[in-house]
Amino acid sequence: MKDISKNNVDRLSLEELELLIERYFEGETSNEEELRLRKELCVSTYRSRLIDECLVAMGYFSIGKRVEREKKARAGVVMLRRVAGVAAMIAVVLVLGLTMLSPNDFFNEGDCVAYVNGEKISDKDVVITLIANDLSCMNEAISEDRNSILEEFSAIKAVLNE
Amino acid sequence: MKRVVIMILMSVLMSLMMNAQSRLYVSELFGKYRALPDVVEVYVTGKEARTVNLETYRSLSMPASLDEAKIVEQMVVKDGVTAKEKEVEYRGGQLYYGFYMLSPVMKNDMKLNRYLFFLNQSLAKKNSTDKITMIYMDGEADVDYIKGLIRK
Repeated sequence: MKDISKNNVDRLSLEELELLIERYFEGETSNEEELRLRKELCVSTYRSRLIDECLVAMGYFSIGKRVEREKKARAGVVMLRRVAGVAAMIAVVLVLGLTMLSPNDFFNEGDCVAYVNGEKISDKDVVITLIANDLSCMNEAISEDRNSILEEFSAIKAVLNE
Repeated sequence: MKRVVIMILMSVLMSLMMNAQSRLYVSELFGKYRALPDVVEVYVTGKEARTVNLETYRSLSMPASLDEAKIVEQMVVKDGVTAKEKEVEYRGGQLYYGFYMLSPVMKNDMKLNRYLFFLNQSLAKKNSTDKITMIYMDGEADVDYIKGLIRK
């Protein structure tokens, strides 16, 4: 058996602890052994009727319970923080993702569609005709734009020649 | 754990910043007004678009008299502010014609040149009609090719 009177760092086994408790109740423990017992009871994870009785006798029971409650509460808070952190991250990613996605992003690669008055048209020929119309209008505008620039140049030239 | 969270948040922020830089105001308009009467929206991508050296072709046209036409013009002008090159003509304080070469974006390791066109035909001197058209194109095609495509 270990020399339990010494304040060594080795933890007592359940048997050793109960033996020390019995000696404590018998009034056979030295001051050093009693101090050791108190310290051991503070950190011990063993549970038995004898240990509980000793905890009550030493006035540790309520403290032990409180410590246990605090430990559980702390563990709960840590767990809650982790869960909240992960949930917040998922929420941030989801919100940002959905914000970034506009209805247009739901188009598939390889689409060739048109919407006319809200009606979807998938006929490729119709779509191509619509594109041709768009581009033709742009071409007219470019020509008109170029002509208006030329007209402006002519006007400036006429003023300069006067 | 904290490091992982910070790294994820940093990467999300980075991608958001990059996305914000490349995102256009006009992209919000597509899909928004397609159910309105006399609105035409065209979307071509993939194989069909690649036949003309494009990755995306999108257009939106609607009556110039619609209130929404003003919004389209505003969005085009906003995107035009950051354009690399532009050709614009205003008539009576309104944008008549606009051609914008926007900053390119990278997509699937491919540099995409982006082009934006706007035309308000109600301001045209000839064949004036109550219509505005906005066209967005992106692809590897250069500006000369795009202009040639329009003149075809």
